[in-house]
Amino acid sequence: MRDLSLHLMDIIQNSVKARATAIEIEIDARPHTDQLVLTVRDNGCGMPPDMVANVQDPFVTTRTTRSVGLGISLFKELCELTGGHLEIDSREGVGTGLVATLGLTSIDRLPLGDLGDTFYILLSADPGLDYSLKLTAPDRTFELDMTEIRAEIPDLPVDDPAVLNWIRAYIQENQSAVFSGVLGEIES
Amino acid sequence: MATLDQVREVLGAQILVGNDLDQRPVAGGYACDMLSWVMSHAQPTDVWMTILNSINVIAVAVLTDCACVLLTEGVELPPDVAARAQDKGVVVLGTQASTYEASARLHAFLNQHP
Repeated sequence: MRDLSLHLMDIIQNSVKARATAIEIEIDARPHTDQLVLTVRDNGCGMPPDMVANVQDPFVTTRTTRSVGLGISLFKELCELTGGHLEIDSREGVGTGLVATLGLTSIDRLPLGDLGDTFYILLSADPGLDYSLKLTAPDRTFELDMTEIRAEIPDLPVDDPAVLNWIRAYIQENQSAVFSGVLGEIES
Repeated sequence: MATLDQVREVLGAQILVGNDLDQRPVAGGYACDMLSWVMSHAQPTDVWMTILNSINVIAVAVLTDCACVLLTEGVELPPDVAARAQDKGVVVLGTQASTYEASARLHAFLNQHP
């Protein structure tokens, strides 16, 4: 996973597997405290307390095909490598929240990656989910809410290629606008 | 095919965890510190060289079923990680050599002992 958007995709897939219908994603760049905070909250089935406690152990997983589940473990390691941390709070029948804090200017922090591509893939797979995305920098913010977008285009399915392409471009444009000059990444 | 026991001797590496090295065939090596990348690229008969020493390294070794983990540059194995390696049957070797040097030696040896 060569950028943060791939980790984000992995986390969101956990929410989908937990049968969430609404998934909130927030990415908050905080240069004053040198933090990049990624938050994913869902209304899925949640986890029992012992599983929350064990979720950072790479040998604990819901998978039955193999004994190793690594998504959260790898992401937690990355967070800690950059001087940050990862916390999960979950309640059975209510949902799960994951907060990943990374060192914004740490050399080991992976670049954010392309959130437009990430959402293109997520929406293609599950167009009916109520995703919301919020990007925050000190003086700029961007919010996208799939419930609102669906209401705007009642006659078009979200997974129509024209809609998907538009959403991808819209996110890409705003990712650049919000985080330009904040993440210290080379922009192509 | 070369065995892990022969490879260990050629590399001058120490056994940090593991036994029965002569029972483990080695056909190649893999050098990478990005665990997700190793997961999808390392092969079961590879010596995986890395400077990482977290619990996740052992999980990736189990997943890829690589011949062993070779910690380079004198990186130490924390006791809890060593215990998990023992528990999961993962061989972990250690060397002072860099990943580059260890790769070069391994490559030369495996070329002569295919």
